[in-house]
Amino acid sequence: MSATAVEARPAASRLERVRPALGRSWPAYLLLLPFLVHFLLVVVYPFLYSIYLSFFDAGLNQDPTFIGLQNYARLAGDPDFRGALLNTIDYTVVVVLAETTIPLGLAILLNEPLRGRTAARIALFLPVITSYVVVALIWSIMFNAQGVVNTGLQGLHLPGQPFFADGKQAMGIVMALGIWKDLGYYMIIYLAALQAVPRELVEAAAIDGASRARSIWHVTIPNLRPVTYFVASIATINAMQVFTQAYVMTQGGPLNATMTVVLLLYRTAFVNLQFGYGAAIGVVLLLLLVALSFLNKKISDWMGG
Amino acid sequence: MSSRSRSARTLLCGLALVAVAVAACGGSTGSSATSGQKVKLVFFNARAADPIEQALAKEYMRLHPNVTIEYLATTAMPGPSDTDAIANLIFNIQAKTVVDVAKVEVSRTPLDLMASKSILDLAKINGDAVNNQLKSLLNTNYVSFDKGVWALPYEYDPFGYVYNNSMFKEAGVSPPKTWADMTNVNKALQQKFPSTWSICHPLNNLSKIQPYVWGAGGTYWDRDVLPTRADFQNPGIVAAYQFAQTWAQNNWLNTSDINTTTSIQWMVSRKCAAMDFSAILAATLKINDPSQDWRVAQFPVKDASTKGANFAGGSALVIPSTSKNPKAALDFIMWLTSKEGQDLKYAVNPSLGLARTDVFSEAVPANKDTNKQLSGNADWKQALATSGVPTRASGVSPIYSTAYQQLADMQQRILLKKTNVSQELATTQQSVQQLIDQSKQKNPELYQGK
Amino acid sequence: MAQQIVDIHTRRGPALIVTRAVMYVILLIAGLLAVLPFYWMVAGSLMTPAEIYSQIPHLWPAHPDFSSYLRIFQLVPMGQYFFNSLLTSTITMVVATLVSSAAGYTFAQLKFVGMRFWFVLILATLMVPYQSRVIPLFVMFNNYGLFNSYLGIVLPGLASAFGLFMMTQFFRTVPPELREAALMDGASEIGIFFRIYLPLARPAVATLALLMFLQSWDQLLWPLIIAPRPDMRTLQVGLAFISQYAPTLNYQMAAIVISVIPVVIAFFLAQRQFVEGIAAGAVKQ
Repeated sequence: MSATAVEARPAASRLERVRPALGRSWPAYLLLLPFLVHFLLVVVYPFLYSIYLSFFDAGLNQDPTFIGLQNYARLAGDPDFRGALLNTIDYTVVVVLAETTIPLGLAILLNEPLRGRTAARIALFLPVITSYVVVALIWSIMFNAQGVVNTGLQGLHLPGQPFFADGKQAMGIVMALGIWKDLGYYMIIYLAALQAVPRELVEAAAIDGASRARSIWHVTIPNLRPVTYFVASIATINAMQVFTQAYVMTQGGPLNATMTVVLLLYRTAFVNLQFGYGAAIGVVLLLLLVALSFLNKKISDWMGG
Repeated sequence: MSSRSRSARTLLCGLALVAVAVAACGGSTGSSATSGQKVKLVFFNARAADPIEQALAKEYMRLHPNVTIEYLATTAMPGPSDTDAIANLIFNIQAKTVVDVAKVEVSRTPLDLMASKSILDLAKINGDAVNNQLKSLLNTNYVSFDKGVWALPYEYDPFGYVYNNSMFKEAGVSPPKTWADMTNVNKALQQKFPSTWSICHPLNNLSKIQPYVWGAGGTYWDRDVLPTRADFQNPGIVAAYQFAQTWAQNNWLNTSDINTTTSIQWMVSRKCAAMDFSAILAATLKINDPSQDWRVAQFPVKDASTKGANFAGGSALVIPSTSKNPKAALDFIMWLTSKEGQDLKYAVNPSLGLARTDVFSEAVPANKDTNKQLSGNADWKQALATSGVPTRASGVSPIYSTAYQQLADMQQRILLKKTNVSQELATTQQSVQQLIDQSKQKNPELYQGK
Repeated sequence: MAQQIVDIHTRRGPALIVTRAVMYVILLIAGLLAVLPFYWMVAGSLMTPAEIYSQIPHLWPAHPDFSSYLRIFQLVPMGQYFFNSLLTSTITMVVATLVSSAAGYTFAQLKFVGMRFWFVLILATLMVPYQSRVIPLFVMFNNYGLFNSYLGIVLPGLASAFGLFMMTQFFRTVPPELREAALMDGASEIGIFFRIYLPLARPAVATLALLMFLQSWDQLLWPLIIAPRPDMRTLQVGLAFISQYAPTLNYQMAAIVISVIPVVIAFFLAQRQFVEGIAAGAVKQ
């Protein structure tokens, strides 16, 4: 993930001067040590182990047998994996697009001197601070075929919807939950960025006779490129790893319509107890995310962000 | 300002260190069975009824002061099957966690566990006592084969046609006995209650369509226990799936799957007038909506010429291979499945003070005596209505879990995607036969001489 | 650093009023949509099951029944669950914030061999789903007797790559001259961090602390696997069992509402801090 804009160029060269050479200020390493120790123990070792496992056929009460790249070959031809991958990419595209636009719109609104801004801000933050488990439970109760949403629709003389029974609608609900949950978070980020846009630019545009909407479109928004890049990066990484909503609400159904890569990994490793195959899924996901990050950076560089 | 924040930082660091120290000392792990009398058992509940099982463990400890029971439980999220919970148990066994007694689902798990050598043969610990105990228990189809006894049935969950008799009376019908009856009942109910389904059926579940297959004289396997051949193309099974598909095509059947929560919801909201489900649902519905007359009947059969059979799930108690005290574990299991234990569990003996609502979330007792005593109780009568119907095991074998999922997926496709029934049955038969052949290769001793 | 962008247009009249009205409506809808599910939870917890499931939509119970809240505490050991969540989340918050901040400072202000390699490696692990680490972690923890222990629950969360990233970003904006000057005055490296740079980072640290707390509070999978004993369950794990303790939906909804209240209260209290902190973390001055 990247930094936002404005790296202080002059400071950088001064920084070079005062940074210690290796060996001269070892107490500083004590500050880094806890993190590194934890990182190696709890993140690196298990992940390396799981990469190692991906080359084996490891299961219940059997000695792991080395099978080389067979797990990966199997993944390439596995329709369940392909389906999960497509679902996850679908989900990511929609959610990231939504999380880079809707919160921006809301932030622009909240930037205006309207009454009830604080209330709106608090309301939009409520989903952010609640856990995914709770939120998914509530939504699955509400969107159940006989739940309150359907009875509400029928009360308005609209047809009831299958929701979780229909693959497309189920996926739509999973996406909607993902978008709804983090709206407030990204909105705050955009809001802060909006308020950091130099006043002079906006006023200059106004003096030139630009309307309010015009000045927002042509002056403020272009300045938000680095923030947008930041939001898109985090949103992408989170979206590709979508798990809890699908696990709690649909368990991947109906008929694998909402199966995601991480949910498939969980099923493979924890339920079918195929640890090697599950590990392979994890490795492929990592490679995908790394590739996506590169892509993201390239796009941002190309757009001058 | 900075000195205040400095001391605040120091305080925080101190607190953090203390907290970490407390955390490291808090919580105990592992068993510490000392020499002599004292015994520690780890009881892992991979099914449901958390508060009740905890209460029973406490009671056992009270009756046997030398025994300490550490209670563990895991759960799938509300909604999905208990596959995840069982998987967690197996996962723990594989990770060599000490577990002495485990409560598991009965129709699939003991075989899975046995084939992977994760549980002990109870008959080897005390064959006479175990075989004697089995005589007093229901639902023993799944627990003994290959001369061993791999589990003791603990809860008995017979299925049935659960219906809202108040609605049926209003529409002037009584529960159907044949498939033709079902169509007539459907007409009458739809007339009176146009937005209600006359029958709701779990779409992603094999167990609840089996009675319809048996009711058409069909079958799934060449024999019920340790089948060597998958037989999904006999006329009875084809008729049953086609019957279900007709109902789905006419929109007389629900389009989304049912779990425990939605089963209650759909019945109480009058979206379904009847449901193929666990008979215990009737008792649960009574708590949720006492205003209706909830009842259970036998599954309808194809026509009067077939007798049909019922399916019963439930739970069982096993002793995992990581147990450190198999003898004490068996004593505990014997008590839990005895009349004494089950009377406490189902409040025939009310001394545990269990909430009435807790008890009703259970399946019915596996102990025959307790079962008989409950049938006189008005609250339990309906839940026990199909207890007497002969049940049939199906496909008891190490591959049953995987075959189950394939058959459930097939059913979903047939009902939701309206695919060709004969083709689906043929394809699935092929794939399940492969599983059986693999299993025969892997565990030949199971299939020997049969 | 909130700036008011002043509307310097003097044009008034119908166009402006319509625009304003539209903005209010949009904001109202957005706010309502955000709050609706929570409202439904509260309303449902006060209804009877027949009302909740009814085909006629009930917006508010006919006879609000608060007994579900009292009963829930009798049926479910909510107090124990709360304590476990509070303890584990607080430990995680304090330790993860400190450790990540210290590491972030090091990356931002100091130089050491392989710095770039470590930084990239740590960031890369953000892309590894933790589900793929859980099995080796569980086996390792089990072998060291951490099954069903508070330490087992908190250990994987005691440092955060995201936190590192955030604090590195922040500490990059602080001038290195402060350190230079302090060194010349004979201060220790560690002292410089705790006494000079860390206090400067207060908004970012507060935000990170809140995020770490929330992350730990909201976790389900790991605590479920590592601590299945009833007295060790965290709140989220307890909610996963709720249908076994509370057979009817209104009780389950009451449990959910109860679990959300403390987070909401904490948020209200720390609201300004939190919002400013996110802003500070994301956008450079």
